[in-house]
Amino acid sequence: MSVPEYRVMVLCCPGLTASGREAARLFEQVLTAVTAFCPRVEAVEPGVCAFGARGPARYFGGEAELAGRIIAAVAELGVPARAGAGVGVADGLFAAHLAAPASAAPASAAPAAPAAPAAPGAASAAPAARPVLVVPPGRTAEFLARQPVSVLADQDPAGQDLAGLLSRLGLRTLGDLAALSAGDVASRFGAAGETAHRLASGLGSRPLAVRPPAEDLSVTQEFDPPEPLAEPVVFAAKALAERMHEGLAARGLTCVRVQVRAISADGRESRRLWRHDGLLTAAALADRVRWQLDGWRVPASAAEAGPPEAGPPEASAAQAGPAEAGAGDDPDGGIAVLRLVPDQVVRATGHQLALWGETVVSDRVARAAMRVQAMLGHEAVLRPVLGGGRDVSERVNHVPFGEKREPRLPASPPWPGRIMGAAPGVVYPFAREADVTDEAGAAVTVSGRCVVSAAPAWLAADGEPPLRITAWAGPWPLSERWWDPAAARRRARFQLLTGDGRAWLAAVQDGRWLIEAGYLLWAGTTRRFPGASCGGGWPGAPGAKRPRRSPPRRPPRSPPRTLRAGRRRHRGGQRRHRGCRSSRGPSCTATPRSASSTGRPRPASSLPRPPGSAWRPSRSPTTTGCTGFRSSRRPRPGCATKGPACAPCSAPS
Amino acid sequence: MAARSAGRGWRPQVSEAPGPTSAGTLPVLPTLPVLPTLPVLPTLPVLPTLPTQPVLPVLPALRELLPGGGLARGAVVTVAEFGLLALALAAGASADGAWCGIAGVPEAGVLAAVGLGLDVERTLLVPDPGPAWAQVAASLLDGCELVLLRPPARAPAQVRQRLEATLRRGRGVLLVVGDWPGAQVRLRVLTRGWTGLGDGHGRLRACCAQVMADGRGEAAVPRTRWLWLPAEDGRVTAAEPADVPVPDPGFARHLQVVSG
Repeated sequence: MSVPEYRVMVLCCPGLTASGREAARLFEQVLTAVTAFCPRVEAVEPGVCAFGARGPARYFGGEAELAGRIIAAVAELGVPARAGAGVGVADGLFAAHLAAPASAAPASAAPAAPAAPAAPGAASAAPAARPVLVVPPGRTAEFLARQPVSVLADQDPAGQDLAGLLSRLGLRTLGDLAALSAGDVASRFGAAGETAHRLASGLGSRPLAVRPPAEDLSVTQEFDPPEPLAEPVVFAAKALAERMHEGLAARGLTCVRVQVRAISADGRESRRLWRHDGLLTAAALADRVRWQLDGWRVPASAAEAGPPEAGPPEASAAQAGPAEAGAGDDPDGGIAVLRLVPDQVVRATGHQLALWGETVVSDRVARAAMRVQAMLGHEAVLRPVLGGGRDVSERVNHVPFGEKREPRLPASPPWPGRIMGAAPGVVYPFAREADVTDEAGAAVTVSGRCVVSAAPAWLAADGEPPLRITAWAGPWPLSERWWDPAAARRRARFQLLTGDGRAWLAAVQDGRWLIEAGYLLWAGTTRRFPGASCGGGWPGAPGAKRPRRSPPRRPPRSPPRTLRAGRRRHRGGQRRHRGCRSSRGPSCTATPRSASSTGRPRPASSLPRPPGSAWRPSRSPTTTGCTGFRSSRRPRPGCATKGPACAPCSAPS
Repeated sequence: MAARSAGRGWRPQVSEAPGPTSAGTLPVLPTLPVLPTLPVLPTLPVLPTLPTQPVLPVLPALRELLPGGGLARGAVVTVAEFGLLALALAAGASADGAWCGIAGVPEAGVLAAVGLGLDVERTLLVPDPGPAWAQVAASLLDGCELVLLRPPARAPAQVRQRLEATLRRGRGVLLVVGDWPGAQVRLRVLTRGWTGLGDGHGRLRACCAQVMADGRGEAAVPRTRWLWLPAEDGRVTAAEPADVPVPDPGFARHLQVVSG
């Protein structure tokens, strides 16, 4: 009747029994650590794993020694102290599981602690710091006999009822239950009782359902002596890739990405993930190896930056920055080891292109783009995607080559408030700071009512001599996402034409002038981008050498909201206009809308009316609410979207 | 045992034996009619695939500026300063199906280029090629027919020659922003005038620009054209010198302060 029992070691981490991603992630690490001692491990339940102890114990010199090593390994993972692991060893899973928590928390498990002396020789052989309980072979029944019947309740729902019934019948311990005859128990309590009796006797634990260790599908080639030239390595990479593909294909698998690791003779390593999707041939993979090695050999200054880790798993292609090895210069002494590791192994289901609507990136182009990515990093090669938004820079999103092309903002809503007309040919990734002054030399400000303090006369972009403004138009206000304090912004935009023939798109935000874009530039300008790098090279730019996907165009909001919205009060009554002032300009007085639209005295040089129909607060949810004005009920007479003096905004009227 | 195995081994020979003998009894098949030799096809007309065209097409308004009516493959074309002219040259080729790489120009106005015909699906941007810009340009030229490049520094002669060799091999066009000694065509904007913007009113509508092209060989004779760059609809069209806007101070005069 009895299956020969075998030694089982149970590792129990009480802190990881809770469900949750963090606990699951930690427990997965624990499992991996245990796999280093014994490859076939069963995860019994969250926080508890079991494995056969006989072989590993013999190898590591005893069960107590093995348990101590495992606990030390788990402690190194940073499992919280309260989750400190306990190990129990016994004949059979049931007894070992009982032994483990008893040893894990000796202070709290006072009733169970006497089990050790009660089972004579059941040596808790480990030092006190190591919560290990080893039940010697053959004495499991003795150990179990001391346990209360309530432990059966953890086994299954039927066991819960049974445990209550047994204790009411006066059978307090498993020993009491085991003392009864199996036939009597079976006839009284049925199948559940029979199972409980067998467990209490130290028999009949189910065998472990261990998971097989994950197969290692990676392939490795060692070069001895190390290979100083790239070509032989690439040649070997082709054969390696074929081996890897054969191994994957034999199992009906393919990999989403493949990690290429090259280790130089002096121990430095270049790791990079390449997109695979089951589409790369061996020759194509060898090309990737070649590019990666080439990238490793480009000058150190070109291969700067990039964290050495392999990047987050959701990223898709070459993640690790270029050549993660020390200074990034030549791998001294050549390549010693080349290793291809399939990443994200999935079932091979083939690949089908869409019939229409998919621009096929030809191999030629993909090779060129990936080659540049190998040199400069994954985010150095971008593909533009047109999306929605009100600013010219917002409407073009840049997506690294090889990633899914999706705009950040959908293009479908109408996006009222855009600047109409031809788009500027020069759009700065980071808006340039500028000073705009009037004839008297005072800074031009825009009040909360969108009144310009004076006609702008001089434009001094950062680092350039002031330019005479010959024509200008604006301000065209824009107030976006007021419901989201982090993304909210309020700005007034201008078009400026300077004496050298250049035209600019500028904006006032937070009391500062920013140049967002330029129209066709003057041929004779001597503007030079200093420095070897031309990206972000204008003076005062945030100095990001590497391209960013979404450059933080908005400058830090030093005064929280200077060009601030007033608060709209009742729709019918007179409006109070509060907190509406520019940081430089005079504070805006609270005047009703009617006063401001009747041509009341303005600064002499400004037009009677800010020619922006968009200044009327729109009712649409995307632009409402932040102007402090009441919407005019009828379109203002001079502000149709026709005629030379009209505002080039498409705000609904 | 041996006999049986021999018999077994022999039997197939018996069964096969009728094969060759019965072949003689079969009616002799008439000799197959010898197919007439296939007429030698005349040389197939060479399909007008992209690489065989000597030039990359450009927008119609720019054709007159360029020798051959387009960007000659394998040539270097320079534009003095980055702006809409450079984007217009790239957009024409892209609209015709060419892949276009833009390197070293992080401020390229993609939106304006799209208005001119650039296909974003076939555009690669390398905003910051860094010190290895020549290598990046060569790699891009392997995949793209047109590469718009602004070198971050003046290119040494050796680097230029190597890039030009890559260019001739790949039959692409290198459009350089800035100076490039030995460029086949050099384009410059001489003058320009914007229309539509007044003193506190209006908006930028169009720009009339005088563009001059010179260079070597066919392009040695300077050509000058007036272009709307851009026109009111955002495209590039030919303009008349008479259209060149003069600063119009009378614009604002038509407006009066009204009450109401």
